[in-house]
Amino acid sequence: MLIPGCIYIFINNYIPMGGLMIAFKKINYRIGILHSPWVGLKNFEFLFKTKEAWTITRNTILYNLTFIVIGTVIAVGVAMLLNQIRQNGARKSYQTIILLPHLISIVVVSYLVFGFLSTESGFVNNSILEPLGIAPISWYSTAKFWPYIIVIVAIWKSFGYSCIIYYATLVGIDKSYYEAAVIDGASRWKQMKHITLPGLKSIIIILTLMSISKIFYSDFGLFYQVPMNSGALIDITNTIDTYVYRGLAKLNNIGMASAAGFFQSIVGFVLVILANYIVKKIDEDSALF
Amino acid sequence: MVDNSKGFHVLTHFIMIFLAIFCLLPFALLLISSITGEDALIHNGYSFIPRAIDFTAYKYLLTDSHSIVGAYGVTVFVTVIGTVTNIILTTLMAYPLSKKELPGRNVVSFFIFFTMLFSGGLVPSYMMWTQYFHIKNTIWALIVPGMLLTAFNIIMMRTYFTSNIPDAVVEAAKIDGGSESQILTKVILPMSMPIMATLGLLVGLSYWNDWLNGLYYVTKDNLFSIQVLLNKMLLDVQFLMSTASSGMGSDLSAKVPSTAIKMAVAVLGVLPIMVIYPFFQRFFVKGITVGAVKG
Amino acid sequence: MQKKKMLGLLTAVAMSTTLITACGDNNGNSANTANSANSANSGTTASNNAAAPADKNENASSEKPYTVDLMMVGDGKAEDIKAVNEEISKITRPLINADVNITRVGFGSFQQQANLALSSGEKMDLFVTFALDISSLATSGQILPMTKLLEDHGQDIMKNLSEGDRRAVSINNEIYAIPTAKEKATNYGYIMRKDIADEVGFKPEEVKTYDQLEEIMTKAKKLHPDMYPIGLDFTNVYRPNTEDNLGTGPGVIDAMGESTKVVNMIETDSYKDFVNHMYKWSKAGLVMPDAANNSESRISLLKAGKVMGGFSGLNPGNVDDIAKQVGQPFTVIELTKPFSITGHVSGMGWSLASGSENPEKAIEFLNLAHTNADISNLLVNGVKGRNYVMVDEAKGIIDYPQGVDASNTGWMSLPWATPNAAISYLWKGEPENKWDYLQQYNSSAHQSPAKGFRFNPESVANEIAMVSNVDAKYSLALETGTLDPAKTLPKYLDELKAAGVDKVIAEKQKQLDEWLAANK
Repeated sequence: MLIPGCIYIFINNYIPMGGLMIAFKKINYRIGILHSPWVGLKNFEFLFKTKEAWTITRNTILYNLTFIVIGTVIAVGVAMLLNQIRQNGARKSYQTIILLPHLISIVVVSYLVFGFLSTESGFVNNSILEPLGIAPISWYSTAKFWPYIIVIVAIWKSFGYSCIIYYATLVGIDKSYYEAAVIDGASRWKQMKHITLPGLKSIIIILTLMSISKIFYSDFGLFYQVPMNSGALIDITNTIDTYVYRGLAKLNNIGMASAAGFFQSIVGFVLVILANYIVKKIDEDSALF
Repeated sequence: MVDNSKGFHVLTHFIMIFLAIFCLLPFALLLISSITGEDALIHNGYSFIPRAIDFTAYKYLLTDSHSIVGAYGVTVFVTVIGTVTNIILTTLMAYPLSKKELPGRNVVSFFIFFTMLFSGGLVPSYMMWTQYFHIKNTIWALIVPGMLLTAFNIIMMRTYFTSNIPDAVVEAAKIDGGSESQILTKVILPMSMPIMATLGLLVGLSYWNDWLNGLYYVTKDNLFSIQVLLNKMLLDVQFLMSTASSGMGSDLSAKVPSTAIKMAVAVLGVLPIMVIYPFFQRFFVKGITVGAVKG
Repeated sequence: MQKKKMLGLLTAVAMSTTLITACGDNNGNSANTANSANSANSGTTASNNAAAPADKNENASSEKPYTVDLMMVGDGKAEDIKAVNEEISKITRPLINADVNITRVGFGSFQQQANLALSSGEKMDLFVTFALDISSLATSGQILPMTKLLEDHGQDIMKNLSEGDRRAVSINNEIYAIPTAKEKATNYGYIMRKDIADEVGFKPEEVKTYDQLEEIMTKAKKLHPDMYPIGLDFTNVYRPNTEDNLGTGPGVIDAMGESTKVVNMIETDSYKDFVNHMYKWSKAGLVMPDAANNSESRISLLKAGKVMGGFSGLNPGNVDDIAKQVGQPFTVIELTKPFSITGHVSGMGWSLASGSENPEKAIEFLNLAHTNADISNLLVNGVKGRNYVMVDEAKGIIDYPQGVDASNTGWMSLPWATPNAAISYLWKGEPENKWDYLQQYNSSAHQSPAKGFRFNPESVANEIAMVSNVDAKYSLALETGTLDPAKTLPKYLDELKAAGVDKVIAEKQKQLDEWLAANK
């Protein structure tokens, strides 16, 4: 049974993995990737030499941690609420609506955010702040709001999607447990604590482990398009991916680009091995491998 | 579940309605801006109450109906074939891996998980798919590279199998003399409707929304899916935003579609899912009942 | 099971290695042969190559036609591309025994797709260097040197390539691209809708300074409080300047001056003067709001009446084009004189991909595209009757057929990105002396003392990556007047210095001095 899948993964993922060596080479396509000269760690220098190294690492990790924590809490919470709703029509409508944001391309999202926040004609300045008598805010040049805006947009866009996964696991929980609990007179809160959350435990751990493996990555669209590449916001929105993009846009250097990707992978790899090891100590079944 | 405190339900609905509005508002803005006249959009910005309603964008897209209808056709074909194949492959991988007695289970799991962390990059993948499998400018380019089987889905399904299907059920079926493939199709699958439906949905969405394969592997416009069409327009705009273009400025600027058209294509990409999704949801419910009976 | 998997993993590594070696070898071979005599004389093509131009026809009948693969920028519908392919092949088959196969890629995705095709060893012969830089293409071996091939198979191209242009597209004395027919210089100015300019009442030729301009803009703003005198084209300000950026990275010289001392652009008086004025104008409400995040073209902004003008490049035809799109005439204030730098010439050209299987044929075709008006017309304008109709046969003026316009044509016409548009038809509304005027504009432009030089950024790539990130923070915000230069400029400069800007400038100076010494 494993064979067709393994063959695909082998072809799709493992054969091109030879490309990892690009990170350590100065590529000349005419002599081919394999024959291009090795340059050691030279391609990695631009990631560490910069004064921004600290800022971009901090931003990337902090944003991701926030997304993991808040994202999980909200998605699990909403999945549990959905599970409580017994009117079919209402539940279906909620489910459909919260998936909407996931369907909209991030670039279009950036236009919509601009629709809300534009200085002159934005919804927030015109329809909320003005009636309240608050002076209009120049959102795209005021950095202090952006950590919140980024988190709100990210959660808004993703919670419906992860909610589906949790919800599917929830409906898979054996109903007889609840029935027994009700007979024992357990409160709704107790049911959640003793039946629902333990039922979700494995999936929460797995999804978190997977997010940890991606902790050095960031959604380029979210950090570049949504703040409209605005200079005043760069200190607060620059992540490893946007730094690499801005740095290499003019250079067209595949070696340096691969080096950045390799670095992100290695860090994710080490972290996830570590986290998986800890999980395994505590609960063997929930570990990834 | 029998406990029926009214307050709790009111609160639940209250929270859900709030979230629903939170998700709907920007979409409403998208919808409204696609029917706002271009001049009004530029003058007054995006607004919930359009000063001038104007269906030019949709009319424009429909006169060029050939490409929109064709793009829908490509999207539907790719989504259906891709999703079905993906789910079959995923199940075939996930089921054996969910068995604790499988030798080398962790090694295979690692073999799969490793692909989530490391990738050789675009250029080697592109070389392989185009030079050895010759998929450039074929419909398969939108289906096969990268998306037919992903570590994420295998792990999700495996987790579901291990945590939601009691070993006792499988044991019982074995005692009844079922072969492995019989157990999978007769026992496991019916009990796994929720995860099948969920992954089917997630995979379907990723095929529906994918445009990167289109960007890399397709140059013929009759193979553009609806999202490739949209993202091509968006990329054109971004290109002009990022390049100080000398000598080609006005020439290219004039060829970028208007904001309303971009919004209209975005709407056209989202609407079908909104229509289909509620029908799809019945599988979630079915999963509960079947699972409950068997369990 | 475990063993099997481990074995699988090993095979994976082995296979991936062979895959890459294989590619490498392929490319290696073509590279070696290309180097050996500067023309790829591998066994099969040798006979082809040896054939003198005179026996071409004889040759043609006996051999299977070679398909020349072209990659062009701009959209095209599949069936129109097919029609153009067929029409061109009809002409080329008897002449050079070749077919053509055109791929058209939209300009937003062109860079990505061309790069992939060039990196993968995919068969491709000729492509336009749109949004691509020939220096980096040449250093990474994605394009082939063309000089020898041109001498043998592209005499007509060589004849028309001026010495200045030739130097601008050469790297180490090897030609790597053939520039297209377009303006090879630029100058800047300010444009304003003519009706408003007339209302304000001024003589455009008398306006020379930003202060004079300010007076005009202030008056115009008073007359039309709901319109902004300075609009942007997306996020392009078109800051008036005469800088030669010498290629990638910071460090410029004045293209109009004699001095070849490389300086930091943001320390020049002209830059400071501009950003100071922009800040002042932005405060006074003369610049459109949220200018740094503008995602609309100036044509949409002008059409909607949100802005009344803005800075602009004044390349020939540019303002006419804007006027045509907006449907309003414009008054032009010229603020700088035309100048020409390396990038103006090499920015748009046709190069020979290293994935070409028959570089001689490719060059033969390119030569034909430069001399044969029918081929040129097909490449620029598409198929007659399908993509355009004749309006004036004698003067060679064309227009879109009924029901077709620039937005829905199946063949986007981009003359400046096509091998030699100067021998093709003119679109209705274009000036009849378009090509003569262009020629005159190019030849009268001031030539930068560094024209022909191109900076090789390799040794300072780290610094350029870091500097680019600092630029992203400040440059657009300053140029749109969003940030106060008095506070920001010193900070900007400090951060640039910390990122290594001086090292880049010193390296640029070193390379420029060496080049100047060698090209006395």
